[in-house]
Amino acid sequence: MNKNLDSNNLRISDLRLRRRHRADRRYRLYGQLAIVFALLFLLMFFFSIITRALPAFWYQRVNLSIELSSRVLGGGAGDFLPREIPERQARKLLDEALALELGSSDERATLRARRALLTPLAALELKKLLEERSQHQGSQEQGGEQEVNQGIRIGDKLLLPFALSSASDNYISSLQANRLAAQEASTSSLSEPQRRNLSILQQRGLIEKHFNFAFFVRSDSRTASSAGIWGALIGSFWALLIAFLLAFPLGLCTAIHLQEFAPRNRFTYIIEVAIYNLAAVPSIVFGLLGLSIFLNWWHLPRSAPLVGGMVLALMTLPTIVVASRNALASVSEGIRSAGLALGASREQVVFHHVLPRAMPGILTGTIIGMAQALGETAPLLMIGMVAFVAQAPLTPLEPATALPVQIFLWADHPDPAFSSRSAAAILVMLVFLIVMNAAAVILRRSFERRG
Amino acid sequence: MQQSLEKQNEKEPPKIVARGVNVYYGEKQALFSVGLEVPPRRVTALIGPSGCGKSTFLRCINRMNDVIDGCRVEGFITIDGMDIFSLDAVGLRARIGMVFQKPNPFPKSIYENVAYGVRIHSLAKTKSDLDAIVHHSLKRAGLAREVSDRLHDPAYSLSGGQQQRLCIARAIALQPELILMDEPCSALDPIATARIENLIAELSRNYTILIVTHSMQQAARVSHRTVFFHLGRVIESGATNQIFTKPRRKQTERYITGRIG
Ligand SMILES: Nc1ncnc2c1ncn2[C@@H]1O[C@H](COP(=O)(O)OP(=O)(O)O)[C@@H](O)[C@H]1O
Ligand SMILES: [Mg+2]
Repeated sequence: MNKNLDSNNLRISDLRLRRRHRADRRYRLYGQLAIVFALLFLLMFFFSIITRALPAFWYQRVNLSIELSSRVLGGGAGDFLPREIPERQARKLLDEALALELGSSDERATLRARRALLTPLAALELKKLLEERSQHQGSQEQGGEQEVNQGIRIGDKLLLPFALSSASDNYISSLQANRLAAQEASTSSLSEPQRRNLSILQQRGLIEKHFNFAFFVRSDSRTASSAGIWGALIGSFWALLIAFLLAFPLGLCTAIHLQEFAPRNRFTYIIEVAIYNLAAVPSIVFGLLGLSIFLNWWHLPRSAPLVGGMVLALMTLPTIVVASRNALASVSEGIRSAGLALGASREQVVFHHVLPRAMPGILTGTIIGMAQALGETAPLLMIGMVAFVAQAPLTPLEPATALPVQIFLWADHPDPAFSSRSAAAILVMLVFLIVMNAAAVILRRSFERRG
Repeated sequence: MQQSLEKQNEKEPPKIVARGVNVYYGEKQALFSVGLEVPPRRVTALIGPSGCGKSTFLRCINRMNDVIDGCRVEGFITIDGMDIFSLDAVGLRARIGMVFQKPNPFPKSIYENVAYGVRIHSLAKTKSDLDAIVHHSLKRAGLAREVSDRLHDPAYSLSGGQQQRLCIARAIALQPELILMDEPCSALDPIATARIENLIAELSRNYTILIVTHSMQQAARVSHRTVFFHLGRVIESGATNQIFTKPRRKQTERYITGRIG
């Protein structure tokens, strides 16, 4: 009878064991499925962003030979260029250069169609370029240099690249990529003679694809081809710097005091709860606060990275405090007792032993907070960092915009060339984030090695 | 022989005197009117079932209870006739070494661990003074030979027993008058334990040592005097020989023979 009982027991546990193994396998499968899904979404995200962003990194340009004719600029052949060249004259030079390639015509409509091949800023750029070169030469003259001949003179011919307008750019790109659908789409925005002109330029080999270096060094612009990310990047940099300088010392001191020195009573408990809740407040509320206090009450400059940074500091403060407190709390109690028992004061124990030990965690938390701040848009909209700003801010007091706001502005633009710039800006922001996280990892490692 | 030492020592005034010490953790009372005397340059063992307040009493002596939230100490404790509650707690702790149950070296190098206390109290004038103190302390703790060629390695690279001896070296670097040890061997293997016990015997020539232990064999091996705690009270204290062979109180006898856990 006893033996019977035993084998019965054995059978039951065998059954249970098998059931447990099955559950095990099932949960592992769920986990793997979840990871596959997450990876799929990530891939989709990157694929869509990168395919949309790629056009922004390249642009089509046409090389035109500009003759600095005395008919347009006045003066005689061999004279130096005047210090100032009216934009009208620059446009005339461009018109003549195009006429050289496409056959001359004085018809108004034809002229306008030709001008529309290039960006509206082409004439202005040519003017600036010519003025720069002539000034360069002028300064050499004053210095009494021998090589006066280096400068440009009336009658010279220059081969200069000009960006195509965004409609022509699209058309050429779609021709190159042989994408019929895209071709049809851009056909509608170009007139028949324009398309003919573009084909002529292309057949002559004057149009070439070029890396859009300007995207990284220029600021926002009304035309897509000359709009860049630099201004927004600098705006974000200033705002983050201000946010870090405010939030890190403040957050760290708060955390140290709450964790190491403050007595555990009702008052500190309320503060603790308040800080935890602050971390969950929607960011737009901080924007509202910035608007009503920093702008309307303290009269700080609108749209400035200073105010943006202050608002972002408020937003990241709870993140930093909570992360720092957790890092401090995870330092073993034994180290504290050891220090105290040797006759170190509480401050000495905290600053000599606990803080260095907690630093990796504190830094990680801070950089996570900063990364959140980098991507934050809503509070910046509230304090006016959404303006069209065509110049990178030299100081945090000048009007500026920030990366996420720039993305938002471009994404909303009717010109499709801007939406690819928006995607490109997202890529830039992701790179920025990856650099920040890499910095966090490196800092962490170096602190851990020292510990 | 121990008896004669005992006699000779009785002439000297006790190192520590405690009278009517009550300790409360919030509402809960952990020690009830504890009174005892600790002779100088002797090892005194505190024994008793866990939770009876041995560690609490040890922490009264260097005022480590001060930093525990909600802990309140009442009563009278003197070291060399000086009331410890009239002294500055930080200064007091510098004069008393403490070794904990779990080895707790700082996350720094072996050298820095020993040098730290010397540095914060500015006990060494020059770098070579400091080197000498560190070397001497490691030697007294029986660690010098094992670590002489790796003084700047992290302390965590040592074994548990070595870490505990490092903690002892760290404590004696300050030339304390008194060393408190709270179950210093409970996390160690028998060989490391034996080394620490030898070290204690050696140190007791110069230092007054108060050791908490849950092992009665250990108390019998290392101590001259033994104090038996139970439920926050001192039940009996006396020469170790006497406590283990002819306990006066019933509870002591029951604990020693293993009937109180
Ligand atoms: N930090 C503390 N807070 C609250 N109660 C404590 C604390 N430390 C010890 N106690 C209590 O005091 C009593 C004595 O503890 P302790 O001195 O650690 O005993 P032992 O060291 O003899 O095992 C125990 O009942 C314990 O629960
Ligand atoms: Mg204990």
